[in-house]
Amino acid sequence: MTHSTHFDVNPQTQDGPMKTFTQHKTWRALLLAGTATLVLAGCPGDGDDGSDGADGSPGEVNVNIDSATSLNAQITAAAISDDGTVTVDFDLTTANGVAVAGLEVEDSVDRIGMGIAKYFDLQKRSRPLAASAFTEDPTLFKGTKADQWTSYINAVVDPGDVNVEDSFPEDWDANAGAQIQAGIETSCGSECVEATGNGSYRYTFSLPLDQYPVIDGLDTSFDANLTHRVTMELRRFRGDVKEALVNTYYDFIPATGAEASADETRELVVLEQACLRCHSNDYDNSAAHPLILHGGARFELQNCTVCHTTYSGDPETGATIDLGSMVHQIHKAEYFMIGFGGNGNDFRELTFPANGNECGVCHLEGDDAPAQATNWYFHRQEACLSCHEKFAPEDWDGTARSLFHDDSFTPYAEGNCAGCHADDTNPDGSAIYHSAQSLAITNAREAYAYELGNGTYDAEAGTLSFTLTWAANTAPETDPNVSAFWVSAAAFDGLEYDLGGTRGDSDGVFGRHKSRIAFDLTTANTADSPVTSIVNESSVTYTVSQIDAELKDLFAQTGQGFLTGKLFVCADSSVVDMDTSTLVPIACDNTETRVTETIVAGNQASFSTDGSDIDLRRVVAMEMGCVNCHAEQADFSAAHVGTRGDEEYPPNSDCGSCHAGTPNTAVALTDGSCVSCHNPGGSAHSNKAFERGFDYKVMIHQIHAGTRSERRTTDLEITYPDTPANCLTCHAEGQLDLATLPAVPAFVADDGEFSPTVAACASCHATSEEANAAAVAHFRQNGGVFAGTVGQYEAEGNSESCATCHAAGRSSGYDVVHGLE
Amino acid sequence: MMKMNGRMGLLALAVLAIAGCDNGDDGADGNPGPDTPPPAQEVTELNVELREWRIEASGQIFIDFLVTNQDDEGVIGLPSATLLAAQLLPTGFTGAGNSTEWRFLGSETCDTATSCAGEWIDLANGFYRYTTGMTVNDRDDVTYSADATQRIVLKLGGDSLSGSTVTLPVVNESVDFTPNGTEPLYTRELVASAACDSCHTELASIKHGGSYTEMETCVTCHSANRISNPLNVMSGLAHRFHADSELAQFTNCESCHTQEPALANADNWIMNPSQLACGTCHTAIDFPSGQGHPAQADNSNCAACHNPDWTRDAHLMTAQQDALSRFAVDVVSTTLDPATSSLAVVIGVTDPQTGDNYDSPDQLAFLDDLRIYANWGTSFDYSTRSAPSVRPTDVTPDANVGDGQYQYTISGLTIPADTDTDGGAVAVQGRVCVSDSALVDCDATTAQTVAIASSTDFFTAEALGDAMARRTVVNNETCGSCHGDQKLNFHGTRNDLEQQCQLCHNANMAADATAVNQSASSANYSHMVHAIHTGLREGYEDIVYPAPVGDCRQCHIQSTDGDSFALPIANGVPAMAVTETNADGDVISTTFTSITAATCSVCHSSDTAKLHMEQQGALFNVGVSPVGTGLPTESCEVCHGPGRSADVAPSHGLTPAQ
Repeated sequence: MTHSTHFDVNPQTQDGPMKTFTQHKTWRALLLAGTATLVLAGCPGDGDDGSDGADGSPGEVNVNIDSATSLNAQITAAAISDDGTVTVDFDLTTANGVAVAGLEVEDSVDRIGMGIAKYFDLQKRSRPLAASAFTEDPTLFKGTKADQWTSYINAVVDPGDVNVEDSFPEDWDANAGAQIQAGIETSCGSECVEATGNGSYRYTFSLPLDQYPVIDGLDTSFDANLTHRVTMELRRFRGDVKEALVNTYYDFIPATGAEASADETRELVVLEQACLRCHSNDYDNSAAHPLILHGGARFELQNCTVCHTTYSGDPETGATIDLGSMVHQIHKAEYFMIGFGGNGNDFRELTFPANGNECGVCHLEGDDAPAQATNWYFHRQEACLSCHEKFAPEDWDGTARSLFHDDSFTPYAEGNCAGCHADDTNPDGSAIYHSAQSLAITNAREAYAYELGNGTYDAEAGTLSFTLTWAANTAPETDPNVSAFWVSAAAFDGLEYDLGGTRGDSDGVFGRHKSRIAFDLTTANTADSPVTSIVNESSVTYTVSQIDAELKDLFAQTGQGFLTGKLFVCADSSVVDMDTSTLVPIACDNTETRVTETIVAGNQASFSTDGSDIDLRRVVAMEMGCVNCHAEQADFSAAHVGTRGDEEYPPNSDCGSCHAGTPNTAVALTDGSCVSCHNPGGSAHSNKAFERGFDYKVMIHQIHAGTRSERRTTDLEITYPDTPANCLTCHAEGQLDLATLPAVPAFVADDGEFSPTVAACASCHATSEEANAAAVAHFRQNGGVFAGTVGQYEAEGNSESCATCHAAGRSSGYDVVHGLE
Repeated sequence: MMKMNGRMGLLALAVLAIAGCDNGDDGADGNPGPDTPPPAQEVTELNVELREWRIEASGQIFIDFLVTNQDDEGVIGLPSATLLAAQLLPTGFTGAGNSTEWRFLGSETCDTATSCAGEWIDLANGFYRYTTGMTVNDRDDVTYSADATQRIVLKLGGDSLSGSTVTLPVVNESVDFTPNGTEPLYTRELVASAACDSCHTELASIKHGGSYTEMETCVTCHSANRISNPLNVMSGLAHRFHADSELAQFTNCESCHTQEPALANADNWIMNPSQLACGTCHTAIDFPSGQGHPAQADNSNCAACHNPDWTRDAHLMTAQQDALSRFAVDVVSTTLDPATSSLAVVIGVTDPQTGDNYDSPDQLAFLDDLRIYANWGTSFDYSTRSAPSVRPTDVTPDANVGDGQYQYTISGLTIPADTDTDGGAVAVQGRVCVSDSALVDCDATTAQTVAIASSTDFFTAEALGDAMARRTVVNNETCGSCHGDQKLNFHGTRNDLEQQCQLCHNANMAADATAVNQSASSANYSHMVHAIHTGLREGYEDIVYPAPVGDCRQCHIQSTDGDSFALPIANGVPAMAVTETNADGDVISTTFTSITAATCSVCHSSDTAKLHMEQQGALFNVGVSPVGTGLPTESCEVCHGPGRSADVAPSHGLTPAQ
């Protein structure tokens, strides 16, 4: 076998003696010394022989691009000559640095796409709406405007043929019309490439910059002093990103030839930090819905920016394709446009799992934030309209200028121009309003941080007492800023929570949940309240009584568990005259400002007969796994108030003890609080079949895998941005222990009992026997119980043996079969 | 003096010619560069060739090396490397009588992605150049000398190439040299890594997370100026821990200081005895205070008494071997009488050195003990756990057959019905009395008793021979890789670990029903040996098995039939009996566990493992011995047989059988 088709060895370098300029200089110095000696000494006779040359260096090697098994490109330099010719120098290697040869050969690759843009004043899109009445000079007062990218390669695109579907929104083409679209150069390919060394190449753009089409109203003049960006997408063939696709870019200043520093360019959001914490970058796995677009060609955020410019739009719908505006609308499930091939791209049923009004979910700030992370503070038409357009009046003229210069907008009404047009008086621009609520929440949570002490439970007396460490001036029950302080005591036997599978009798004090009680500390010492308090210095001791051991039989029998708190603090979330100092806790009955109620979570404390610590329930998922998509302290109130959960049924009422939005709304999703109801014992009544199982692991798996037969709160199909097969999205390595799982109680659904590992696996693989009979047979053959009789699993000796083959690292380990290794 | 290379030499010639003077010849062209291998894209092996090494004037260390893969292709883009350096002090340098000693000069790691201590040049063709950040002069506790032998160790691997998830194997490559340009004037090569691996399998698996694969690496750090406890300098550490291990034959120093192939300094252990090396075993001696040995302040006088030949003979017990070579016992024939359940055995006793025949064993004054055991049922691991025996040293032979051959009868064999066509085994063990290199009368005051190598032969109802020999699962050579070949004696003089032990440690041994791990409580050879070596057998909990315990081939033999551990287990090997006894020792209940489950569950004792076995046909603690009863049959080999998806070999980290 010969390797000649796979590599080249440069024979000159390999065989030749090593000759370097360093040696040349050394020799010259020695020669001068020698001459001087000759003058003094006359003829010295035979000189010594010169010493031999140094051995040659090893040769250069490379792989041909046809046989490279991975591909990396690094742009090393870019230049724009006086006549506007753009050249890009780059090295092409495999992932581990082997030079890749042959790119200059015709048809060596599927495509080479090169973009070139300048970083300059924002160029505004002509919005194709009703006649634009606002014609006065817009340069009167700009405030801080961040520069934006303008591509040198643009086209005016007319609406094309559309594959209209019934699902299109009404009037989807109301704003159709020609739009400018920025682009990249893909037509030249390897013709524009020359090899300049071993794996080194130069791409020369096909035209000088001034010969690309000039668009009316769009300034594409060249200024060598501006920061420029070249982007490259290089694809050998479709279908394998690791082996065959490169996205890269290079920011530089043509006048100096220098690479642009971080503060000379634009980076607001880092792909890895903001996007990929929820989205998948498993680019070669379509099941993971990886964040790669345009036919599997583009994933690098910096490359997106040269086409998705502020001035670009979609001709068929008139929708913006400005990157920021488009991404905002997509995540708010409000975006529709006509894409490649005349097909609709409909994001209106996207299920964004966090608060879309919370800019900080994506616009992350902090020590490792990019240089322009705060640029979102600064107003610009497309970004602002991405949310506000839908609130525009009927007769709106289509411009941001007219929409926001209206008394309905606080800064305009107050005459505080800097409230949008950021300047020295308010460098935060409109972010001062967009961040007001989150700042009020942060302030409230800081001011009202608290800690629950361990509780002591006396079953005979029916009392539970504990101490609250409380930094505020007055106890919760007398603090006007506190609207409620629900504390839950959930019984936990050391292995699993148990709702009891049935409702308790009505008792009017704690509701019908048999193993958990909830009470509001702010009712302390009032008539009919079971709560009494003694206020100490910086702490309050509470005693809860009337815990009836018969009504709360499961609670009393278990006699231990965990205390969690949910404090509701009121905060002023309204900014007046750009003053943020008012965004602090405020009396809940204040009617003069906007009051936001904030949930403040605390610690998880234990309770037991002697007040000692109870071992935490096993932690089987990462809280950050949830946070990555749902953001911090996600609020699932809405999911719980559907039945009997409204204000008429507080958490201590008959129905509300299970169904209330609070305190059932967990602020931590992995510490077991959710399982205090969603446990294997099944729900207390109206227990559902396995296909919409009540047990937490079953429910969560089914929701995220899209296998749940029905959801109470939505009929949308989840748009989960990863594959549900990627266990590591939520479960850290080592958290899933198939060897200990068989000891967990079996899940009792309406259609029978499901042993614990079967329940976890079947929630994706077999939500019913019909759905996957072979898997169910396999479960049963290996000790699992699927839709068995209640008690069967324990009677058969808890005999799941899944771990033998499916534990992590085993021959068919869950990590192996899910592709996690 | 003029210094020039080829091309520049021509120019120099022209200038000098003007002056009318003769001049030196041009220097020759440099040699061509090295062959450059094609680039590797798949890497499962790393081969390192150190091409150049030197200590720069600055004291920095420079190396030039080529890394290739399993196909001799150049490995490009290695992400990290660790370099260690040590200097060897010559014999006597640290004091009269002291051997050569390593001194640690330093180590550093270059991680190209995070921080690199030195300068790393990846020529992107498999060749690398590295100049350390550290210098050989950095440490206060060692003075670098360009005339001393130096060692550089390069450690590569353990990480992955960019874009790959394959973990590169760890390799250590080292070179010893003298910076002044000569070959090393002296070295310290005492133990080959291969000698360690013969028992440890992978030296790197012992400590330090697998980073250090060679003895050459170990000694650079386990040196006097790097390790605070002198007992952990390599000679102290290695002797001490191996002496403590109580493995047999530790006195054979050449187990590790191997002579074949002989390392340059393989005889260092006899040339340079030291208080540290000797004292680690001879622990009753305190040299400075003179306890157990005349007082010695240092090593300067050791060799004056303990000359090399004496030291070697003493530790290799050559005299004893000479004495043992004067006695041999062989089974000559067997005659089975099924009617009386007895076996007539003829043995021959000779002096192999002279060919002379000895008198019958009961007449031999130098023969302390000689016993012959027999058992029946080689295909079903024997019919009794109490193999009957005869003791020729105590009885008169039934017959003197002549030529030093004597006949004895072993009665009381158990021959179950319908097993006439099976086979039996007969084992011989014994002990002789020696003094110096001679066999001596056991009454002599200088006499020491020494076990002979025991042996096992097979027979059928017809004759002595291997027609119905029991299968070989382990052999004395594989056991000997750690224990020494037939050097580990049990019950006095039983050392044929290959077949003799099984005459009693067989399927008739019952496990303890009350044990947490029943299989580990069985004294059946398979269960017992697995349990001992994994520290699972009662009394052996503290055992530290010296190799990866999953390396089945450390003990199990490979033959043309494949691995001896391959499933299924030989047809006919019965289930494991599990009994419970009362206070009087009477069996009050007996259950049975199928044989594969019994074997595997010694180690794989988790609930899920047992459940898995049961779900695939294994039986635990059923009321009757399951073979032939219609109870479920084990189906282990369907998945765990050779070449199957969960083949036992790869499941234990081994390559599949060829």
